[in-house]
Amino acid sequence: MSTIQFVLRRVAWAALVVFLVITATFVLNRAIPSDPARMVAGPQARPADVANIRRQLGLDRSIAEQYGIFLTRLVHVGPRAFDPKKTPEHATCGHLGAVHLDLGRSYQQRRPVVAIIADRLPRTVVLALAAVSISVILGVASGLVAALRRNTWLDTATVSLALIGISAPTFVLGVALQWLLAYQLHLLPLNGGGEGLIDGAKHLALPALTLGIFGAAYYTRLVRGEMVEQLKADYVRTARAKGVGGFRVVVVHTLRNALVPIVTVVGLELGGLLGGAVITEQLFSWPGIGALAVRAMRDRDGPVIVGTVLVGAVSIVVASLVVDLLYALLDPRIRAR
Amino acid sequence: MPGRILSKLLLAGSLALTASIGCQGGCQRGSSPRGRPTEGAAPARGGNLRIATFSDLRSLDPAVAMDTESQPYLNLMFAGLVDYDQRGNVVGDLAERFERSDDGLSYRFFLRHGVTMHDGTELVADDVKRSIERTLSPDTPCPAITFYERIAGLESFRARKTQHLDGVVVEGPHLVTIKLSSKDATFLPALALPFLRPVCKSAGEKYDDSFQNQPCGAGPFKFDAWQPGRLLRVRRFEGSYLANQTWLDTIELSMDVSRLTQRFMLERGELDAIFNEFDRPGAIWFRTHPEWSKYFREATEPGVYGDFMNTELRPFDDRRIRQAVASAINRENLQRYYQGWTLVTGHLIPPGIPGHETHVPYEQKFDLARARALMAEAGYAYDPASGKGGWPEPIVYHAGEGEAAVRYAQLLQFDLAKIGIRIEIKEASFSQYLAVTGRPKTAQMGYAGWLLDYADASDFFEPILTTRSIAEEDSQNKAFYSNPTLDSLIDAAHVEMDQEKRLAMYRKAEQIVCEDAPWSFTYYPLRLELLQPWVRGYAAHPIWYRQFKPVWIDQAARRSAFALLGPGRATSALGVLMRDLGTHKQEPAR
Repeated sequence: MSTIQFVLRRVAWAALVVFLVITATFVLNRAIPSDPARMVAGPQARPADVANIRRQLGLDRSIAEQYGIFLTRLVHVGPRAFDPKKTPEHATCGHLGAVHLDLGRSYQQRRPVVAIIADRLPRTVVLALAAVSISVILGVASGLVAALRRNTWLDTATVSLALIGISAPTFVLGVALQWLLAYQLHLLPLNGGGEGLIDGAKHLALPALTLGIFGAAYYTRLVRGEMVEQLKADYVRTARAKGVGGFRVVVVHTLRNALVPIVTVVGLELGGLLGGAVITEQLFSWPGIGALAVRAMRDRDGPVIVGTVLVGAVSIVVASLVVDLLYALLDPRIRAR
Repeated sequence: MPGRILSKLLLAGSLALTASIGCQGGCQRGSSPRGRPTEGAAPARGGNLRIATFSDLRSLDPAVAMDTESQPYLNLMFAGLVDYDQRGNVVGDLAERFERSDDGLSYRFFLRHGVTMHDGTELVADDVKRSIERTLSPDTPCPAITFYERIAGLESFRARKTQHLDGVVVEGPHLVTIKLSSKDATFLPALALPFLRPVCKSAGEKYDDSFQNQPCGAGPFKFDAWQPGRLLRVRRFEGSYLANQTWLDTIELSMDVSRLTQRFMLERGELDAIFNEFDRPGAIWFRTHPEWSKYFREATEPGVYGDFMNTELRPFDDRRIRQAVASAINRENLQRYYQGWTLVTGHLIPPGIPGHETHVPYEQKFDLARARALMAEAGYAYDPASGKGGWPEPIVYHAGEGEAAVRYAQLLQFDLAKIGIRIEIKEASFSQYLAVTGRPKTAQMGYAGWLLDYADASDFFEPILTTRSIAEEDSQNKAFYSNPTLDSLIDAAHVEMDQEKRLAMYRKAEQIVCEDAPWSFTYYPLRLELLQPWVRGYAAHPIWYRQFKPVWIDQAARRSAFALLGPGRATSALGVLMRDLGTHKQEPAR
């Protein structure tokens, strides 16, 4: 199979997965016994007012009809430039040239879902990248130290800490870090947000550390295991016999090979985080996709639920696609399969 | 070498954590308020009030927003013809006076002269009419059309038979008359809500979602910034006719902030108040703290909670069983459990609403002997010694969502077991709870609550206990209770313009529902509020969820609180240590 065929096949699968996920979300969301119109109107609204809102939101149509409208609107061709006030049919669209993406309008916020996600996604991307960076740096460093000092107290301590890190839920770790670093020591702000580079970085630190430390614990164990295996390999012995220095053996030869499996985990973790770190975003008031998804679920805000699920599905699918391609590049045997 | 460095780091980290935990448990236990109110300080302009909520705002358009979170900010940005005063009475606001015709069918509102809207234009009667039509238009998703259904011509207007709402008549630049199709004693209390308040011409003739991005009205504060899910900021409007009675420069609301984070922020001086959003340990801690408790306030919220019993389903189609349930609930147990979060009750009309009395002779009371006697009379005698008898099947109780709802249901379960009624608790998301309990012949029993829409006793009967409030979907009358005598009484009270006669009618109606027991009434909710020592002028409002207009900042108190150590300064470990030492000195040993 050629590389192009391989890529095309993976892309087609990815598109199918995304389609199935959003279809299932759309149908499930409407099958749940609850009334989004009631949630919009509020628990106090009278039935006649709720019925009026239900009609205005198009919720009085059949599920099949709603789904048909959703699908035909989701990706469509439209004008390259438009004024939302003059062309109400495109008022909820985001567009790239003539290709329009329309996820409808939020029932609760009454804003286009595309715009709401566009507000939130950059913050989620920043948080995900920061968290994964911390995970990788901390995890690789401590895994390396543990592998090089195998069977010493340092190895035991590192592995034990990693075990605690994996076992502790993020909300426990998050609250502990918030209490210690922000509330007690005043080193960092208590919650998310922040404007500008410096302020933004300060506000990013706590949620990124929470997710990063949690991920680092997993990487520590993974890197340690891989390094221990690689250090026993023949090529390491050969390199040492040829007089290659210890640092070079560890970093250039061994670590490089040990990091290959890490690529998969990093890719999938990044994909997962791009779909929103639900608990951490909530805990630190980080205005990202995860917090948005939770609120949408609570409010039964169907268009936003579908929008956030779409972001999550695309993130995971794209991440696994990239991982597959990277793997194929790193290991030609995979392409052959 | 790396191992040695790492071990030192680990050791240092462990020591820091241990020291901090030790301090938390033994020496600090949270902080005390910084500073104290300045003696004799008078209201002065300036300052930013910083508050937070774990919620988000639904909308900043008065035509569509009905959530309690948005209400305080709508009140700041949009002034209405009338408003509620600090005692809950309807008084003129943009209307310097108003008069009702003798037949009770029309109201004339005399607008203040020279009222400037946020876009700089003068408010005239046309703006009032345009804004009312905008809200009540068939194209506007207003959740409160029924509040105004007696405005003359509304039906034709909403059916698009007329272009304008005939019942709203502009009689001059500063005079507008609203005509009703029939008498309505609830018209003024409903008019005081934000829905029909004048909006600037930029809002257009028709509702448009984008207006909420630049809301514009005639309130004492004007919109400054809104980042949904993050921040709302409003700024004092110097052109307002209330400008000389408002003090704050800005009010800033942070959204999506957890209860715990709010507590941390308040203790660090980064928040000026917490309104009702306490976790249970936090509320108890602040309330019992020797210093913080001075700034802790409680106020009843105009609402009522209890349990509905579906009168269409067995066993609650039998009045005696319902009465037995109402008599079996030990409300003192609830009071003990809630530890001051509620005010237990056995009747309907809550404090703050005309017609409320603390105790009424017909209120539902805990009386186990009576409850068992009623069960026996209904044919389901229960012997507590043997555990035999009672209603033979378990009853599903729809508890709603969350730990508190389940705990409440468990207390009820405990009480009802003593009369031979076994309940199975069903927890569901709020949206599912609403859907299931609103369908006829579906939910036997469940948690029930009602918060006021407008300050009138009718609002506690008409939407939830009358035959008209029964619906095939989304029924607000979750007990599906239908009593023609009550219906007639409520209808008569709705159009009775003599306040004393009305209140007598509502007391009679209250007696009927207490005795018929479609609900067992259990408590009125309380609002818990904690303000920093420098926040002055705030008083809980009997109707509005929060009222910020009269608030001012005691600048001297705030300055003194942060003179040495402030959120911007106490960022070093030394600063924290100094602060904590200071705190420790102030705080008596407990």
